[in-house]
Amino acid sequence: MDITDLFQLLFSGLSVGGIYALIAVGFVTIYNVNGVINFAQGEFVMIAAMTAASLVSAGTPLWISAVIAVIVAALVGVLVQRLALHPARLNGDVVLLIITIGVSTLLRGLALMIWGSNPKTLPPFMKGEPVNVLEIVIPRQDFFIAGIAVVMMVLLFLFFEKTMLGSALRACMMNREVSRLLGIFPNRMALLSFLLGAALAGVVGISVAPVSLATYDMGLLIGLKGFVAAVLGGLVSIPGAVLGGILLGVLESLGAGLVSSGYKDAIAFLILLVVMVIRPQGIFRVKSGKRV
Amino acid sequence: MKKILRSVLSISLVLSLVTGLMACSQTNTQESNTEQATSTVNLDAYKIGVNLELTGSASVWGLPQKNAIEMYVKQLNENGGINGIPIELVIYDNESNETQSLVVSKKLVEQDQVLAVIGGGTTPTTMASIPYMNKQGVPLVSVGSGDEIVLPVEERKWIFKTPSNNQDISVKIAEFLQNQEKKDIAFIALNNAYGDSGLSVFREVAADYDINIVSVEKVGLGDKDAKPQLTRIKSENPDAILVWAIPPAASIINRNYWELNMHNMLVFSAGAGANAFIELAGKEAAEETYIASGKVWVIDQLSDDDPQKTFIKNYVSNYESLYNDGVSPIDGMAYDAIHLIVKAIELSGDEVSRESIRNNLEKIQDLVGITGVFNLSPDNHQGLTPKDVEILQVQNGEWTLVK
Repeated sequence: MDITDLFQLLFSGLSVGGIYALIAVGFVTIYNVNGVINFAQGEFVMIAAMTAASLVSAGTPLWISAVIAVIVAALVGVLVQRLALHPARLNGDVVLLIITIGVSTLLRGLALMIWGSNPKTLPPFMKGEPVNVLEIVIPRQDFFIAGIAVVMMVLLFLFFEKTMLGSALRACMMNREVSRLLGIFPNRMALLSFLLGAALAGVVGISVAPVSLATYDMGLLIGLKGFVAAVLGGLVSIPGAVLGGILLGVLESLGAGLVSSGYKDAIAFLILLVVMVIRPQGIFRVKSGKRV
Repeated sequence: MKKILRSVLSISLVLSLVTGLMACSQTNTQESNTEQATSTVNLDAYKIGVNLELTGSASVWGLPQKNAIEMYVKQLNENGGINGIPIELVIYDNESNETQSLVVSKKLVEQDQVLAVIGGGTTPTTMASIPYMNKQGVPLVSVGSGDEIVLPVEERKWIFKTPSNNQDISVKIAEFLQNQEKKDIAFIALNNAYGDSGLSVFREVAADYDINIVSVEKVGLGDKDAKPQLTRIKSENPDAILVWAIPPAASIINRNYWELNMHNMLVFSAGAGANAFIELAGKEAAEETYIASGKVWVIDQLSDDDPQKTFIKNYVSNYESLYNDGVSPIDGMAYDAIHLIVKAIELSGDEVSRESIRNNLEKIQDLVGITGVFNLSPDNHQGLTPKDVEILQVQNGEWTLVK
């Protein structure tokens, strides 16, 4: 194992980490506005991947399929918020949490009925031979994944920091009741957060499907990994979620490459356990108690 | 107001859970319903149970296998069954899960009172049912490939299987590697009973052929990325990489191998042989990949005196016209399983029982099947030889026989 291999592992980890980061951002956005961990987040990823794959195999051009798939995922997110969570919003967090678990099972079951259990393929957005950079080989689709992760994060930053709507959403994430006093409708923000979270998951779905294949049950593991990333980042901050995702991807890749490939998934959950026990506020946050 | 909300909530929650559960079990209820419908028409029928991976991670195998079995039975029943008595299938989904596989076996034996069971389609799902089937005295013809399914034979009185043994596949691959002068190989095994069985058997065989296993990597059934494992292998730079895995994991390994720009020789065991293999791996990535497999993909390239040629040809054309889908060696194994059971029922004459099927399975000789020519005996519950395994290579996006 020489230095090139180490960099190779690092790069594979970065592209996977970008994926985890995007899902984690979705988790954090939804959690802070709705006060609930949305365990159906991975299912939004699956819906986008499956929609795109079946549109492409039906003859729709790749990019159009991708856009439609993200819209479909976002719409499903909106429907889930309106039909399942909104009516129950006055109940405790545990009820809401269980609803999202029910929704995730429901969506997985529906996907099985609609698409069957065979894996589907989506052609990569960037075709051709992998690229050689200083003896490190990088598949072209990884550039796409990294690129889309960066673009999405920049867009998210602009949205949250520079737009009225984004600021309102952020205010609502910080304190629901006070933002209501300021004329922000928390209900609309809740809907918006699901739209955003599901759309982000949709982007993840179309980026990973060419690499990992699309299956009806792909959402479970990818959702859990995104959740671990969000917890690493402390569950309340978006930059924390991004860093958590990238860290998780890199650690997984290095762990599988340097220690043993049998423990790849175990590494993620071991990290989750350690963080939960030692630093429940997330590894990047110095002080706790910011949430009121 | 709160009351209404609460009731709306509980109803929607219950509904969502119920629909989710229904969807999960949908496949198997549908199957058994249609099968039961036929049973009312033919009260007198030989009941055969099918325990396969219709959903879950091994469903790439399970669905075509179910199709193959159903096609066999449909044709048999249309031609008058076995001496006028039709076969009735009871099909359940084991969800690619060991525990569920045992539940399904119990249901087939106790509730449906079947004469024999086909399945599971993988080594782990089969291993889970073996002690129970032996205890109950019901013949099980597995479509899993691990050698321990039928070995040691004295502890496998009621257990048979149709896929080639890992032993035979290993011998064939080792001969091939020796011919190609490949000495140092890396081994990637699926992280379950199938991969472990392949690894331990190949290790023994490799020693006889002067082949060194320089590194061993594991890959999970649901893994989406095998690049770290392949990066490690790349640094070892072996002459060839042997993969003991099934799709989709197998396809992802092939894809990652291409993505990492590796040019060692890539060889898959028979388990990777689902018809979607090339498509799932991607055409460019699959080019030049080798597989040790059965003959269905290269039937036109076989010599005319091959005893299986006509049999497989009929199978391929029937399957493709009925299901509008390509065949693979994997579904052929399930076709062989029902073929063996039917043969054993025929040999039983008028007295058909679980016992007679078991005894007559051991007497089957020179039975031409899809996977090979079966010669079973009390010491051999599988009946194939390394000659029934072929080495194929993807050339210009098509499987080609390597001579």
